[in-house]
Amino acid sequence: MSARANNVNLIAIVSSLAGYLGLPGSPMYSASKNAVRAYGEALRPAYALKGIEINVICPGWVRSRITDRNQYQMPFFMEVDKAAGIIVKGLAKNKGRIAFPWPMVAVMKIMTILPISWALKILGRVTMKGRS
Amino acid sequence: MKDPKNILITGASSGIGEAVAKLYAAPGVTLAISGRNIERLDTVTKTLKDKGATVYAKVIDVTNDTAMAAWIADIDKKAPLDLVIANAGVGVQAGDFDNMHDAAKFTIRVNIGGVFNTVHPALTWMQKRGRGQIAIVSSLAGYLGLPGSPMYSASKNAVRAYGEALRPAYALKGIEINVICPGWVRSRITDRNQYQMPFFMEVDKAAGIIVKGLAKNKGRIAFPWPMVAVMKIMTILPISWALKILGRVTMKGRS
Repeated sequence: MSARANNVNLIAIVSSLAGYLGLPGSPMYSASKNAVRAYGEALRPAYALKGIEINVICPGWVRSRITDRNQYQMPFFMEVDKAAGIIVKGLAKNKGRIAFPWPMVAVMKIMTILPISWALKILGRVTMKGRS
Repeated sequence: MKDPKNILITGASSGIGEAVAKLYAAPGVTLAISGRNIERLDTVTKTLKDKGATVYAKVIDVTNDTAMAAWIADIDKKAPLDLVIANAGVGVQAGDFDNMHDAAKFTIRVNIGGVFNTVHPALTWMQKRGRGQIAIVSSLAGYLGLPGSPMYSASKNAVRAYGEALRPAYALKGIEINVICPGWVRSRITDRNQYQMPFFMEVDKAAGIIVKGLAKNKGRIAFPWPMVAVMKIMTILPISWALKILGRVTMKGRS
């Protein structure tokens, strides 16, 4: 943003890769993160015309007080400083959606086009481990 | 499940809820329906009774959680529920509210809160029996953010994800959870859309697809298929492309 005009207005909404689909075992978190991802996306085109950049941030599993409580093995787990760097860079570019880490983004995109029963089976293997 | 006998549908006084209720209505079937408008609800009630169904109709606001819990408990006592369809939903348009914050709060309260107020009491009673089916009406606008419909998209993405995330765990308890994602279907919501709606579908056809999908316990009942295909492609495209393409449809004539 600093590289561009000073009057750029930037709003970023932190969603999650759990904002792409319903993550088995995390219904409320998934619902809320899907909601705010879609909200930011739907606002973006109209506000772009008014000079306001709306971005949605979709991190995978990043070290935080939220993920510290997860009982399962989190694929492509990322340390928070690395995540922050990706976010700052993405916002500077006004990317629209800043999603990472890329292998997990790829997995989630594949999940969104699979039949939902397959997607939930695969995701559930990760997130429902040890629960019944 | 096949041939549910005791069915509760919210928002059944018009649109998809009404059409689905009519398809289920038959002798031996009990239908509990809710809506906000007494005249519309009375008309639907009469139609359902004419088809031989036992009908309990109630004017109730889905955002009232205590009233919803009491109503669902009461119905479940009279007619242990096989199927509950959380259908009630609203779409706000520019001008409905003075500011976007009030519009957002209203949409979230009805479209998300209303679903919770329906699903949670239903789950309580169904879990005790270890059987039942719960359907949540989302939308194809529940796949992505539709340019120009931020609140509606947010709410429909939320309830889609909610149903999906619940489905595996409740399957183990004998409860089927399904998410319904219609494209543009004739209803009081789409009647107000100003743009050309691709693959527009009449409501009776939509209801048929829904009833068939629920009988098969399809996790996600999305239609019409060409629009589903388009939306799936949108979800894997870079978001800027997707928003540009979708915006050409939904933002037509707006600036």
